[in-house]
Amino acid sequence: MPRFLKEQKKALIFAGLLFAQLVLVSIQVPLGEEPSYLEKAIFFVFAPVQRAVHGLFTATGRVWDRYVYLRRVEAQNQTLRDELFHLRQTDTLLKNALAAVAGTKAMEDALAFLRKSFLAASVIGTDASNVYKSIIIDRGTSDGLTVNMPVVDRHGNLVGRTVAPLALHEGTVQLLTDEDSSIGILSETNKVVGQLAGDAKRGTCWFKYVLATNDQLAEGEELVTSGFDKIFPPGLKVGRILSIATDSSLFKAIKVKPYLNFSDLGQVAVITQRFNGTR
Amino acid sequence: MKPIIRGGLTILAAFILATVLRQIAAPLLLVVNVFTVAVILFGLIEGETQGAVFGMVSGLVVDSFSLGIFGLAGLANTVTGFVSGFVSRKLNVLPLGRLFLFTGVMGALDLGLWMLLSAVFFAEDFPWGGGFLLVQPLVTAVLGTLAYSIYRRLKARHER
Repeated sequence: MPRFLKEQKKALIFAGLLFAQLVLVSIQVPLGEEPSYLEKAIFFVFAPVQRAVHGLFTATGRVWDRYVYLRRVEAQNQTLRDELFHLRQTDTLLKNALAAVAGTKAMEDALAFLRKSFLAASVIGTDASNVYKSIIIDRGTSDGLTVNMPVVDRHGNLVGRTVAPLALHEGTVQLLTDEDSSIGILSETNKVVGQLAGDAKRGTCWFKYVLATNDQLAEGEELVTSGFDKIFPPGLKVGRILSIATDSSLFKAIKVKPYLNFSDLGQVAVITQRFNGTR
Repeated sequence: MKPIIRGGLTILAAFILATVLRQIAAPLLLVVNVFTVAVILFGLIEGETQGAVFGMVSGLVVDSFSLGIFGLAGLANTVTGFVSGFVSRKLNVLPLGRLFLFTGVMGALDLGLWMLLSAVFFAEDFPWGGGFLLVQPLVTAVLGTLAYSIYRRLKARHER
């Protein structure tokens, strides 16, 4: 084949590849939040690899913990015993409080309901382009995961919600710091209602739609979920107000520091039942 | 080994390496873009067409694990893979100093394209990480030069 034809062929292939990807991007417009089949397929193929690498890392970490840090076990044991003692006390107090308001059967049903509503999960990966957007967990559709399930960290603070793509044993969680995330929240003290939107650039959030004339909010105030969005149960801790600014716009610019701690996000819990008790 | 198998294995290796980095410290991925290094080297070794195809596939893998727009990293990596192969065929980039400069410029091109596509065409935000994102091309240059030097040595030993 003459050289110039060969060059032209390469340029044509390159143009074809670019065109194919532009088509791929355009396809997403009518799909909205729903990922395309190709995206789902790639996620389905590569997610188990991520899970395996995470498993290998965890196993290596366990060996390290078991054999090298064995000396710490005694001290850790004592700490855990203390913690267990306090937890038993709290448990007894809670059971007593529950028994005071309802019969034993109702109390057991309530506790059983609580036990069934959480699904513990390990974080096996973070978003490939921006760590503040999403995480990958080791629970998928085979564990009963569906989209729009709230996810909390081990302290009970809100992390985000499950979104597509979900594989059989792996799932995606949209973090509350993602700019496309929107959560109904209210302030603890004066119950000022608004929406929490993420700021993936900085890993912070914005408390939106609070009128500029509203002066019931203060810096440092705690924010919790309102439950108005019918996705997140009310009362989940979200974060604290960092700063409040007013400009010429109709609404205040309220910056929020989320409680979500990226360096302490190894384990999370998925709330599998809606706060009204059905799913 | 056929280029398609080589490409597949390289993507798998890059994905595993990126996952390991994520396990060590997720913010590391802001400065170490394993996929960009792989795309530049694949274009350099295999040529522009293979580089573009490899760039597209690896970019789509990155996009599948991101809530951003599917195809964004794919577009940037396709261009990087093609340009990497094209430039390395026209210019001798193999001496160490030139290789460092070449991988650095290609890393900057990839990052610049991704940022441009994110900001201008798709109105997506990108994480600056306190300016650390801008260190990415330099890290790409270091890793790319190192990886290619190792590859060259292994190839020479294999041919002997």
